[in-house]
Amino acid sequence: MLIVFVIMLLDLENELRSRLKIVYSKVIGSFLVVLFLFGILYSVVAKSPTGKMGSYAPDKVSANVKAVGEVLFTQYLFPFEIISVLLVAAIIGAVVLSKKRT
Amino acid sequence: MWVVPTIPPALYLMLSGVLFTIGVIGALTRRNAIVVFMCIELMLNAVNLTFVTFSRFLQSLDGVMFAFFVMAVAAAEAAVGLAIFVMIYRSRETINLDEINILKW
Repeated sequence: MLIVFVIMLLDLENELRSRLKIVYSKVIGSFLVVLFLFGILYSVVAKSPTGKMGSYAPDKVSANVKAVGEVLFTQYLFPFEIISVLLVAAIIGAVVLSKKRT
Repeated sequence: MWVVPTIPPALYLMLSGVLFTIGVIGALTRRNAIVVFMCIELMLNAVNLTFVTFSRFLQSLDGVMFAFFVMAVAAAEAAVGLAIFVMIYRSRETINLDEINILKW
């Protein structure tokens, strides 16, 4: 939503509609990335994922919101507070940055 | 109560890998700052999908929590990044990444 708003705010019509320019380095980069994708797919398919099972059984899925809230406000309370400070700092930074210099 | 269909986690992980790859290709090849930005968001959300998949199949809630925190960081990044784009566009009339080179030497 914010991205759409900024696209409307800036007059980017010709830039956004410009065709993709094919450069040699981009081709090499894309090739390496596709190679990386095959690495990911192989590692997913080769071995089934393992790990320590938690206590959140499938029959508790119907009480999903309650379980998530309980964990968020007990075990993860400190990161939650950090996130709130981070968001406040980001909002203040955005306001200060986009304010017109007078 | 409806039953969650049992799709193997490998398919979710493959989808996540494909989304991440699309994001990387976009970030490497497009030169418009907003498009690159959206590709970075796509990569973050692909990783979110991996977190939630493992959370679901290991029956643990930690992955869901990490997905929350990743989303919050993405929101903060979007706010600050788009403000920076608006500011650059005001001063330079373009947000083409090839032309924004005042920090290069």
